[in-house]
This record gives sequence, C-alpha cells and structure tokens, in this order.
Amino acid sequence: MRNRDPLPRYGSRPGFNALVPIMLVALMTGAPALAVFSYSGGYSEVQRLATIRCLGCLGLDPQIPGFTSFWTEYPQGHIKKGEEVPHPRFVTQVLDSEEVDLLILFYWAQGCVPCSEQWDEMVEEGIASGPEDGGREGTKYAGLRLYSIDANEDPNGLYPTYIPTGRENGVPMTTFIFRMDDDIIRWYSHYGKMEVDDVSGMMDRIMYGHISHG
Amino acid sequence: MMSPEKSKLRMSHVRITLQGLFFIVAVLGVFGIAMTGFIYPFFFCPASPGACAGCPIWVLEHGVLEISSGSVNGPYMIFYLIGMFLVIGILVGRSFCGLACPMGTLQDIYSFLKRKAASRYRMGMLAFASLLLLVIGTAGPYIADKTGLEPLLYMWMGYVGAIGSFLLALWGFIIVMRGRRIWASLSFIAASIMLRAMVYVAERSGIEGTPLSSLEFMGLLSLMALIIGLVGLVRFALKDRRIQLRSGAGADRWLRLVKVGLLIAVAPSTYIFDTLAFTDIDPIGAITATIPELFLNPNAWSANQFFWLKMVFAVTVLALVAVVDRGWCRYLCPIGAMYGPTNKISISDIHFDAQKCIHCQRCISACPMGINPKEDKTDPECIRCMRCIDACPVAAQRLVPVNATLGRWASR
Repeated sequence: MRNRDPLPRYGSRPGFNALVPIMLVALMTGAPALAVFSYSGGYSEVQRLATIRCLGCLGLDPQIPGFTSFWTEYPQGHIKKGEEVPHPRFVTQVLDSEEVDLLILFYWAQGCVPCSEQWDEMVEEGIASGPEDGGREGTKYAGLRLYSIDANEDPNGLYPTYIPTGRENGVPMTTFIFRMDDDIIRWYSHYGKMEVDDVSGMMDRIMYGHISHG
Repeated sequence: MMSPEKSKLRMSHVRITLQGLFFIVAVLGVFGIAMTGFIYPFFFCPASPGACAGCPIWVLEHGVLEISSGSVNGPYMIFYLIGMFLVIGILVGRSFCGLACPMGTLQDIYSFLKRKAASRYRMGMLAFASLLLLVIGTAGPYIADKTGLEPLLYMWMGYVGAIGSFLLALWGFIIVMRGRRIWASLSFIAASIMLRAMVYVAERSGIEGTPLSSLEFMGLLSLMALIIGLVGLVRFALKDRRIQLRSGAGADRWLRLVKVGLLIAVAPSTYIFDTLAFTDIDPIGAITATIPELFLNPNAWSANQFFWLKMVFAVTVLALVAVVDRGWCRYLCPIGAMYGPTNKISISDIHFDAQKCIHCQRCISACPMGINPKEDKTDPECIRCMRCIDACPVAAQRLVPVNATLGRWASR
C-alpha cells in the first residue's frame, strides 16, 4: 500500500532549480563583495552609525529632569560630576568672537525622526536655517551661532563632551553654550527632542533674561 | 554506526548550545565590547542593551538613506550586506534562522513550553517561573542602582525581566486558547483596565525608580493583558470553528508570502518616507531592545510617537508565535525571506534517504515550519533546525556537507 503524506506539497516548485546557476554566480560574487565592500567603507560606516544609539529603534525618548540652572562643570548625575568641562577649542573660538552671544549645537543622526521634526520646527521658527545636514542659525536672533552636527561624524569631538550624563548616547541633543561677563563658560544639554517653544524660551532666558548661575 | 537515539541527543544539544552561544555573542556589549561594524546574520536590534553589531534590515535602510542623500557609503553598506548574506547563505542556507537567531530561540522556548504546559500544575509552574523572572528583572537593576553595582553586571537583568514578561504572555495565551473560556478572556481585559488604574495610583503616590511607576512599562503589561483577552474573545466567538492555517493550505501558503512582501517593501518605504520606516515600527526591536530597556531604566524613558504602535505589533507577534510554531519565521521575517532561496544551493544540506524511510511521518510532525521535510530538502522554508533528523527513528535524514541539488546539477 502506498503511504501518502497528509500535507500537500509545499515549496520545491518545478523550475525553481533554475536558481542554481544564478546562485553559482552569487557564490563567485558574494565573497569578493563581502571582502571588498566591508574593507572599503561598509564596515566602518555600520560601526559609525551603530555607535550612536537609535532611539527611533527603541520607540523611546529619554526623560530629562526639568531645567534648573546652567552648568559650569559636569552636573549632578554625570559620571564626571563636578569635574571641569574640557570645552573643545572649536567652542572657545566661537565664543571668543564678539558677534556671538550664544552657541547652539544641534546633534542629529541619519534616519532619526525626532531629530528632523525638531530641526524643521526650529527652521519654521526662524531659529535655524538650511537643511538638517550642515544647517546653520536662522535670522530671528542676532548674536546666535548654531551648528547642526551629524552625531556620527562630529569632527570636533563635541558630542561626547556635552552628553548630560556622560553615559547614554542618542539623538537629538541640543546644547546651549555661552559666556557671561565673568568669562566663565556656561552650558546646558537637552537629550531627546526639545519643543521649539522650550528652545525659544531658553534662548530668551540666555540672551535677554535672567540667568540662574549654576 | 551511530544509533538514532545518540543522533537525537546530539542534534538537539547542538541546536540549544548554538542558540545560547549566539545570544551571548549578540549581546557581547554587556561584557564591555564596543560597538563593531559587523552585521548580525539574524534579526537583532542594535539599540538592545549590550548589542555590538548592526541589524541587517537597519543596515539596508541606512544604505538606502545614504544613497538618497548622495553619499558614496550607501552602496558600500548595501553590497557589504548582500555579500555577507550570499556567503552565509551559500555556506549554510537558512541555518541561522534555526540555530542562531534569538527571536527563533524565543519561539522555540514558546513551542517547548506550550507542549509541556499540559496540566494545571505545569501551568502553575509556568506562571510562577514567569513571575519570578519578572521580579528578578524588576528588582535587579533597582537594587544594583541603589548599591552602585557595575552597570555591565546588571544589564542582563533587562533580558531576564523581558523573558519573564514574554512567558507571562504565553501563560495568558495558553489559558485563553485552551477551550472556550469567556471568563478567562474577560478577566484579562479587567486586569488590563486595573493595570492602567495602577499607573495613575503609582504616579500620584510618587513611586520612582521601579518599573511599577513607569507608564510605559505598566502600559505594556496592560496592553499584553488586553490582547490576550481579545485573542480569547475571538477564540470564543469562533466556537468550534478553527482558523485554517494547516501547512501548505491556502491561507498558510499565502501568508508565507507576507515576509517576501515586507522584504521587498523595506527599501522603497525607506526611500519614500526618508526615514527608517521598518525599524521605527519593528516588533523585534520592541522585543529585543525596548522591553529589556524598560526593565533596566524604567523611569529614564517616555514613549515617542512609535512606541505604542511597536508594542501592539510586538504583542501581536507574541500572540502569533503562541498560536503557530515559528509564526514569525513562517510569515513575517524579512531576513528569513532573504535567506530562503539560498537553501537551493547552500553547500551544507540535510539529506533524505528514501530507501530507509518507513513513512512514519514523524519528521513532518516535528517540523516547526510546517513543511514536509521529505519532499524537498532545499525548500526555502526549511530553517535547518535539524528536528527532522532528531525525529527520524531510522536515521533516514542526515546532515551532509554537499547540497543534493547542486550535486545533481554538477553531475549533468
């Protein structure tokens, strides 16, 4: 008696073996492709992009304690709490310029939805201008210098200096840096998307209002 | 000659050992290994606690975004990914799905427990074990934080807690799916409402630093209870009718094409929406990254616009996996769809000896992908988990280094 399988045939469709020669070609090309393209930039690009944590992948935004004061050193909760901040030369040079009252560093990453949302809102408000990649300050505030920086590239090493906790790394992050009459550099970093009203409020506070000395 | 019994032990041990090892490799970051530029050969989110490589779909999306922005690195990333897939696929076919993927491991745990939890006592044990894991996962990071333990040591607690919550979900799905228990379903819905209420109580009482005061964490449990309840109600409404997902039958056959559709859709959707379209709502990202992270740092996060969508998809995937063995691999995994065709030519293969076969059909019953292992060993759906080898009482199936189709083609 012939035994029949209870399940109908699935998969192995006639003609599917035509894939064999195609796959043989794939065998010849796959290994060289892996070697050549990982060496010529693929590997380093994956590493570069993966180093900054994708908060979009998590579906989570960091919860930031409300703003209390500007910092002069590393704040409470930072792994280097109380230590002096090694402000990069790029920052001090910008702040030395007489035309600059406030420096904003906006960090973003490719494919980050909250980053592009915050950037678009800042452009609409006149705080920023241009595309997210390489964007600069808008025309609304005189004395403002703004740099939009891809956190994965960051040639001046600004991003790790200004992470508010020194631990997590994610984007967007907005850093406000300025100098007062006492010449001490004060700063504050907001990790996660910042509403444009909060950005404006912070700028008004720094440029025109009362400042709490941290 | 090795007896079938010995072979059975060896194959299942090989699989479990490999699955454990690959999970440890996937989270090498918990040992302080920095992020590398490697790509996981399976689905695993690079935002997971301790992740040390990129996810293939995430790399594909970034490659497309770089191409659309005119960067030269985009094609490099995509060809690097394709090269890796071709080499792995040609060497071992879809074996990484069956032997390495952490999501596959979770599905195997689900299938195993589903089979084992046949009595009330065992169901009770399952509930106890999941609650114990939940307590360890919840209290571990909190205690470590308060006592100043090294973060790397307690990073594992995120996964312990996450596995506890997945097992608790399985326990719920088993309860509502076995028989038509309307009261069980309604109880889960009531529990869902109560959990939401607890969030407000926790918020008002000012409990901080534990998942109990995290809206997202409690919301997740509430969502799980709600979906379990709804699955139970659907089961009740269907009465004695069953959803026909018999392997090879119409619905099953068409549903298997969904994963191919998802794979095809990744690149265009990324290009059109100019964002990581799949990753933003990816349920595996939620299972491997978001849920463990909620255990580790419950009060450090708030939901963004994709959180609840991801969670709904994640719990729905858990429901699917609880109902259908390897449901994610069968119907939805775009990486499985990418590997599938390489089974046709992969150098390693599972050989079937028709002369030895006694037609006991045990290999068919054992196959978690619901295919007929005797029909075609190069079936794109075969995940090379080697269960058919284990199941065969006469050792008619065995692992061979050279693909039979390739051998036949070469000898023409």
